Amino acid sequence: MSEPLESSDPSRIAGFRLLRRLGAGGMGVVYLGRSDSGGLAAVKVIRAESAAEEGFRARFAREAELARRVDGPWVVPVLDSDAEAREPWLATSFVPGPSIAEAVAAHGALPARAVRVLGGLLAAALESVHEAGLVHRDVKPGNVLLALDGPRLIDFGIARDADDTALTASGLVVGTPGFLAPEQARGEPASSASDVFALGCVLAHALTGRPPFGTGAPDALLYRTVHDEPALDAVDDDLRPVVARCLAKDPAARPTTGEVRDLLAEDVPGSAADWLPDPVARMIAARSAESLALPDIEPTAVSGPAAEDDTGPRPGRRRLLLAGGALLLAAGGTGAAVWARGDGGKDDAGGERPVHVLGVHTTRTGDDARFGRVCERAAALAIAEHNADRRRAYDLKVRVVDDRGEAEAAREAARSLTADRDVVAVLGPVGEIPMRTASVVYGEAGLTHVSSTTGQNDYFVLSPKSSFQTASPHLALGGYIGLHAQVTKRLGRIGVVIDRAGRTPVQDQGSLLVAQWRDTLGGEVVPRVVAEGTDDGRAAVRSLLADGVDSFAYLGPLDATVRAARDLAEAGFTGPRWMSHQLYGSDFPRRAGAAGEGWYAVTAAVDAAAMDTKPAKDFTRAWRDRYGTAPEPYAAEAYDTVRMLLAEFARTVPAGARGRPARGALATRLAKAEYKGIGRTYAFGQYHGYDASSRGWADATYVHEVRDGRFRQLGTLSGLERAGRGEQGGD
Amino acid sequence: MTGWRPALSAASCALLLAGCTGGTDDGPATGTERPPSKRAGEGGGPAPSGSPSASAPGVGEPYTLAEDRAPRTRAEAVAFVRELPVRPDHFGAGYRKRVPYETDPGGWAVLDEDCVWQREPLPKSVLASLTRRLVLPASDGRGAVRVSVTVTVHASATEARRDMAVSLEEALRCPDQRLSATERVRGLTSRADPYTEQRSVVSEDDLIELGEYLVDGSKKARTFNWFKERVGPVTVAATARLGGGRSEAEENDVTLDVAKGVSFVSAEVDRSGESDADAEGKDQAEGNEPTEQGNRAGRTDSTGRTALSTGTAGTAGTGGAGGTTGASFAPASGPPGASAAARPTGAGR
Repeated sequence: MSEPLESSDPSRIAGFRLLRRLGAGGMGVVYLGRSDSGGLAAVKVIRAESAAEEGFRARFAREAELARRVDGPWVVPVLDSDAEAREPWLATSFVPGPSIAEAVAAHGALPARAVRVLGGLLAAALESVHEAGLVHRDVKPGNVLLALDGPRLIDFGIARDADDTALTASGLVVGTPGFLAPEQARGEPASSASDVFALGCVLAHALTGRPPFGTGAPDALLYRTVHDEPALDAVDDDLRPVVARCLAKDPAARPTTGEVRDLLAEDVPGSAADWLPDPVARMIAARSAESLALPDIEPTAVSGPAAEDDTGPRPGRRRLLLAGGALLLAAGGTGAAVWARGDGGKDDAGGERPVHVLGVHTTRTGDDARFGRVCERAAALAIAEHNADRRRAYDLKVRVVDDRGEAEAAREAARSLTADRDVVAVLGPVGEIPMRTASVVYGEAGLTHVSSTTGQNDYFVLSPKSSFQTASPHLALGGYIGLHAQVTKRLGRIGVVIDRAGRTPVQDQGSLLVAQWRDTLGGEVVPRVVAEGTDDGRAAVRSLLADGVDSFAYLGPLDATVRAARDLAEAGFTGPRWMSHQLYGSDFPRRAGAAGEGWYAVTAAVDAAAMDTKPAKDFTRAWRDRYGTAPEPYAAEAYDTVRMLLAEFARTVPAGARGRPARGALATRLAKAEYKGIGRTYAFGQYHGYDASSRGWADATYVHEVRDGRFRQLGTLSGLERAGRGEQGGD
Repeated sequence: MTGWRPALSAASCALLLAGCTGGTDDGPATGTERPPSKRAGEGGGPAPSGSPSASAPGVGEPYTLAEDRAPRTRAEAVAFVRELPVRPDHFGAGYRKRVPYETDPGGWAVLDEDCVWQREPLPKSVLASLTRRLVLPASDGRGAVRVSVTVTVHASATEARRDMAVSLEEALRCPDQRLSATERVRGLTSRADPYTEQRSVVSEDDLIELGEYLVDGSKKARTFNWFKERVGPVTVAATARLGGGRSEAEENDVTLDVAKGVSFVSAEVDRSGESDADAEGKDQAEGNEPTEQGNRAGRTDSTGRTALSTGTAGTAGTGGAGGTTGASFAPASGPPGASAAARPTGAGR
């Protein structure tokens, strides 16, 4: 279970006296320690060389801070940490039980009932990890420890050892092949759904004694994870459907941790250790006893400065430990569970701060799910940054609700957030229809919410005080297509298709584009409106081609726009082509292939990774650090929105007061606030929409072109205008 | 480049707010008393009132008419539009029939390439189209309000959807339109809201235009409004030309009343699709008139219309996307009795 300390090991780290070595890896050593108050801890110490890597300390600090926010009975709590020490360290409660991997190796597969309990509690554990804004990324049998009262999830995302990455032919993969989700295996970022996949693997492993994708070389495991169905034949019939759903290739098809918990959690183990088979329970008891022995014995074994002695105390201590362990092992260890729980209750100093909650009203299904995902990520990042500030007056937590893009579910989601008095502000909703029903609920409750992804502009009628939008209105963005044509001197005869399958947002865009192009800019327009539920879009494109238009705007949903791109390409049309701004960041480049090259999206969404400013670079780096990818489209706006909300909220919190500010105060402040964000400066107009009338709107509208199969930011409208005049362009 | 600014015209903002107030007052109140009907308009089903009852299961469906209950032949369609109860007081107190009252259901108005409305025979996609002409006589210094109501039966719901698309397209294509030898419209803004988008409409699709009309020889522009709803394969449209002499608030009241009137007619179309038994039960349960009053509340919540008037100030100055759409124009001079223009899209210029 552990090794004695080596001569080079410190005897003490901050408030922990080190007792044993629990393990060592590429980045450092994990020790068993005892706190001054007597509790046992696992202290992970990072080697100075590892900590020298650029950005490591900041990341470590952030992750440690996030981990301290994880709060659940089935996760191992973080006790303390120090990112600034020469060798950064982090201490968690010590759980003496064996891991699932050890238990299964020693005693074979676990009975179905035990796995059912295990699954339900692990799902709850993951839920609390996700609620803290973390993704575990490495859920595996070795990271789940068994205690008599339930499992404990360890090692959530903090300062992962190099051992935890696998070097494969295709590159470095973080995590453990065989338990990694297909998206992780492909090198894509891990999400909470990836943890659910891993949970499915753990449950299958516990039920059958084997990982569902077998064992072998990492590459083979990854290949099987992506392409093969898991081996679930030996899985218990009752559990197979749940496990199979967790193992769905498509992250969106997997249940949430909450669903898994609900599906499985019929039995919660009581004080009696009857959820595990006897041999495993005995194994836990033995380990616990061995640990319990430590505090009793250690003070006599290591007394005074002898602890600093290189050689002196070691043999004696080892002997004593072995002896004590053997004694207690014989006695059995019924008190172990109590100990484990009691220690978990010990809180860190940060817990004394008040905690406020930011609601994230998201959508995880349908076309808007891609917007919802970035909103969730942006909120988690902004909150993590807040919580990493040592001078903060309060802590923030995120609470995510999903409306599935449905009106009624959105109403319910808003009600659940407004009913939670800890929620002080909300990011979202994501889609127009949820916004329509939810804004009323927020308005009635006086809970301030800001949507960064909706562009209809009449919500103030439903909720005149509490609802805000930071996205540009659809109307304005439609008009900006005309301005893009003007500044690039291509204001000819345009065919505009408004495909009503794209709903009223495309109508908004198209109406203004037509009017703008013709009446204000002086170009020629041939409009076509296509009825929803028909296949008339293609005929409209053909008729416009026959009409001799020299540029084109197809404003409709993705499928229809892709088809229009193909039809135009087939007809050899090479004039300027614009899509609805809502398709920026969509699958259009991939779906349309060569036919999509050269299409434009004119939008307020900035690609921060393509910008040179310091805020954009900082943001991009933070996003990469956290999510392993450049910020997705709409991430910068969602992040700015949260930061603006939090900045104004901070000003509503009375200094020194521990209470909660009145909800209404935030909306009053926000209405007058100005916030300098990554891509633009935010302020709200009379109707709480993004104030496009402020001078900088042309600096805040970006043109993206599909080039080489992806969206590329060409610059802002004003940048393109300057470039057109021969001045310096770009943004 | 100048800035872009959403600018609500005073008129429609008032209209909007009036609608919103009506909904807020009526929504919760009627919601509790509402019979278990599927009807959206009754009690303001889709209204953004936030009242729990507004979204209770079983309510919140739009006015519609199943194709298998709709007229299938021209003869049936003509009988349908003639028999449909369209009463002058649907549109407000004091309305009367104008003479001539009804047009020939075998023809309709089409906006030609030069943006002039022409009366033409019905295409194959339309089974019948009947326009009724109403007037609120002038009194107390307030000019007459002329309303033309057109009910059109299309060959299918798809054809009716195409007709709505054509109407929207016409508004974009022709910012200025000639109604008749003596009248034209200009400065119209338009938008259409499908029921599914939760914007407080009561039929499957709901189109609205607000603007002004001019009588040749007169320099004074007057208020012109146009509403059109789709109920399955049937479209119901009404134009309103307001005489002068009203305050802005009074004009808004008149306009809202016309919009409600269209919804009442839509409700009649919907009702026509119910079986006799259904209809009886419903009548006994709630009575006809209260139902319609309930519907008023729903219709009053025409909040979606805001964006209608959010044009642009600065850059665009396009507050009016322009144009009216194929609608019932029954000019004083006579012929094109008006009708919801209906043509298959493919036929477009």
